[in-house]
Amino acid sequence: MYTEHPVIEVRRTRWRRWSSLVVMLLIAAPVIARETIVLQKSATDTQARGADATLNQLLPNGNNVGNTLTVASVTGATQHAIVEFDLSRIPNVGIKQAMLTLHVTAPPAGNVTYGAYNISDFWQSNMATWNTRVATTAWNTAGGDTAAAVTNTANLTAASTTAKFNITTDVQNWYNGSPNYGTLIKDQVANDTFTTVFGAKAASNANSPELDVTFVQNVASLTATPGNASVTLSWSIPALIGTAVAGESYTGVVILRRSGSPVDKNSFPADTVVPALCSTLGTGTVVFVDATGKTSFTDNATNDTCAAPGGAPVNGTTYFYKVFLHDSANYYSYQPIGSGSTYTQEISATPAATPAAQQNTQWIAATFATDLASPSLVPGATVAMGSQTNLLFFINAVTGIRQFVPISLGGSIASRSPLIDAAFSSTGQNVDYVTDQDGLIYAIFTNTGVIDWVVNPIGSGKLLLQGGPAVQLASISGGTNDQVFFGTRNAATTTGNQIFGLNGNTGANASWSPITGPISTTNNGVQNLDIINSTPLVDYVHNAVWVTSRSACGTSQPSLWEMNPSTGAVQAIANLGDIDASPTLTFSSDVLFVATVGDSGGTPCTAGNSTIYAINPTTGATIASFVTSDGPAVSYPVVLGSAPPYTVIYSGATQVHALSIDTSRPIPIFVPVWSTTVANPSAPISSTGLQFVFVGSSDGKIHELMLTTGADVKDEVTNIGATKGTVGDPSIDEVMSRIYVTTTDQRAYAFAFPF
Amino acid sequence: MFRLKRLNSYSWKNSILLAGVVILAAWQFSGCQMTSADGGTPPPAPATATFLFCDKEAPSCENETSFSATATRDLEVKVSWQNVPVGNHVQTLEILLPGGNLYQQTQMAFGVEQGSNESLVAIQTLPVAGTWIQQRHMTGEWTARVSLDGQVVASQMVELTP
Repeated sequence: MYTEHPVIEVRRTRWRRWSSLVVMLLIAAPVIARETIVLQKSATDTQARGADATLNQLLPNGNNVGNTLTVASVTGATQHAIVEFDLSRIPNVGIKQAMLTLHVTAPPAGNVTYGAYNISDFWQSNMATWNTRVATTAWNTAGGDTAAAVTNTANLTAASTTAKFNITTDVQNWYNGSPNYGTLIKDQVANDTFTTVFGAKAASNANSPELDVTFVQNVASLTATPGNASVTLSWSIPALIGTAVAGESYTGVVILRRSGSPVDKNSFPADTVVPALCSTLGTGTVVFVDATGKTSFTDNATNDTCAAPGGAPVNGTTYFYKVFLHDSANYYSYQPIGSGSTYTQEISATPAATPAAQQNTQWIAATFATDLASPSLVPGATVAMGSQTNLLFFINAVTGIRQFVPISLGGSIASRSPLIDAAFSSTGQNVDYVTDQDGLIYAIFTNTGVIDWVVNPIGSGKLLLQGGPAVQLASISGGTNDQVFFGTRNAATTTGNQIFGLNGNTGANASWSPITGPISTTNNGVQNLDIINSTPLVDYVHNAVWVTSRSACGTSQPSLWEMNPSTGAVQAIANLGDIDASPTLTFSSDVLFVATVGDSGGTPCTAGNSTIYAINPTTGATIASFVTSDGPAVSYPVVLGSAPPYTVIYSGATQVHALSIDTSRPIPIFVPVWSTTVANPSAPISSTGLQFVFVGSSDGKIHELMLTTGADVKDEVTNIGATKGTVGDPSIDEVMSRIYVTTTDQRAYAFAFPF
Repeated sequence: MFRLKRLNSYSWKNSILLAGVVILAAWQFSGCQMTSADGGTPPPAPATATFLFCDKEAPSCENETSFSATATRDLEVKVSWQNVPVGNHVQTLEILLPGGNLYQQTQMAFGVEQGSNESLVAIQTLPVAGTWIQQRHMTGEWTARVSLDGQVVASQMVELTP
């Protein structure tokens, strides 16, 4: 009979217990990836975009920002702490874990449980109170708007020195397109009388809030070079940002491929698993798996022997590649969350037999929602674009890599936001002015993403801002500060919309701002102001700001307004009928061009065919007009030429059109030059001296038209497959010779030109 | 632009007591008749949402599902919530283009207090006139999809015609 030695059995039991514990710990262990970083205000980490505040029920309209944060659960005097981190040091990463630590400076008197909640609304620390989140805009729920479910909890005692919260899912969502409004900490038990004080950012020491992030970086410098039945990808493995974990290192990439459209967000390799070559992951085929640190791959008949939809690239087909960097433990550069991962580096190319027919993107960047506005630029340096998920992106124009994590604003951004170079800005910094549909206007420093100021220009209540702001530079016009002009889109009125002028340094209203319809004009009595969908135009030569508006579907009230930027006086008006397009000036500012919607004038008011007007900007009088036959003009007309005759290019519903007008003649007339059919074209773009006109289309392409003839000589593909998008208004970067567009497929693309 | 409308004609605070009485009466009445198989309390009804689309300028809002993209200035998307549990919540409204790409996503937080029985209607204005929708002829079958606290609750098609 077998009997166990009692002592040995004890040892075995202990061993089993220990091994079980180790296994349990391994199972419960946090996901460990390649790098970790500590984000905390210090001498070396400014946390410039970081913020925190205490919301105090007892002082519901008081702002509480200082060296401490307080969480309290006291009847009538509850306090919540709100904390937001600046993630700018890790802009291009896949998040694997994020732990929020608050350092206790005065512990609770007893045992408490605090919860961390994802904040769901935009706030500013210098304005946030128990009742309001920014300016006079109230929280929907006093005490802070948050998710219903607690992200994580922490138990504290009278002896606690920290409160730690696992907020991994929230941070992953922030990197995946959800706005980052930070985290709210509150007691899980109402009125338990306990209070805890934590260190705040302002303390700038070891007691400041801390976010420990574990992540995998994306590859850098990703390019795709098309060949004959081949595409060569190259990339670089980035240097460490943080601290290497457990001796792991980046060891290679996994590449997914899809034809026609980008690999979708639900297609990615599972962490710790090496996918089989040629296997299918969602909409992507695994065409390359490497663990040896390679930095290039040529997708051709030799290297890609997968069966369809893999296999050697076919000439004339556009291929999209998504490149997942991984470490030695096979953690990949994406956010492993259920809703899919939208941020991993991708690129595309179209192989062809001849170099002339080959195409490739310079970079592709995720924007998370539709944006069709022309991206704004510091040429050769920065591309900026908004999105209708409340995010503002600053992209490195050369690499396509985010300069920092997108900036979370209060509402959808539906317009182009002007970027002002520091050399010209009265702020002395590179600054971007943005309007959003939350009714707020922002000045944002583009080097850091810091919001310099944000204002609700009407104090309380909400505007809807559709058009972008225009900026009058003091460095050109004189004065002490730049001025920012924009109009409102209050569709509830056809008479009472508003035009604002703000101090570009502070956001304060100019002395005359706003002017509100019905407006007393200088020479034309009182005039109604309908909705403004466009961005105003600053005319330095005539010291004027030109604003276009709708006009109640008729010509009984103005739709073109000339305003003095210093006084707000409306110097001239024109009753041209509804206008949605922004006005355009010639290089010498001797002629202004506008394009109407061509509305029916009846009820219901339906859009018709544009009329293009040439306006004398000195008098506001019409020089010439041209009735089109192709629906309303899109976004704005483009005027080319430094002297008459000028070429005016605009897009209608089905075609791109060029007109010529010689305004030096006694009676100028518009002369049609060419019209070229492009499916649902965007606004065109070109510039004086270029041979081509570029235009986006609902066919998923950017078309390159000859300026002289309109011939559609070549196009570049953004997305023509299953998720084909409509291409927005292009921007031209003449420093880089690149075209930038955004599309409805939630991406921005860069192409070299000429195509 | 997003706003939340509580449909009671009297104030929210004043409604709490009445709502509480109504709910308690209902609880008492139903308690003996509606129990789960094991004799316990029946699970709460899940939150539901219904959509109503309106031409914001129209004198009245019928339950229309088709609008002219060339004649509509603003489209109002009204989400009526039922059976939302007590507590703070976040509604996410996604507006999807024909074809499924995301056009716009908005979030709104709101709270439901203990004893409340008022209807909650979240209203979002979708600008149409002069926007990309009209300028780029984004017509066809759009989808509005609403989630509560991250879980999709309802979706509905709405047509924008040329």
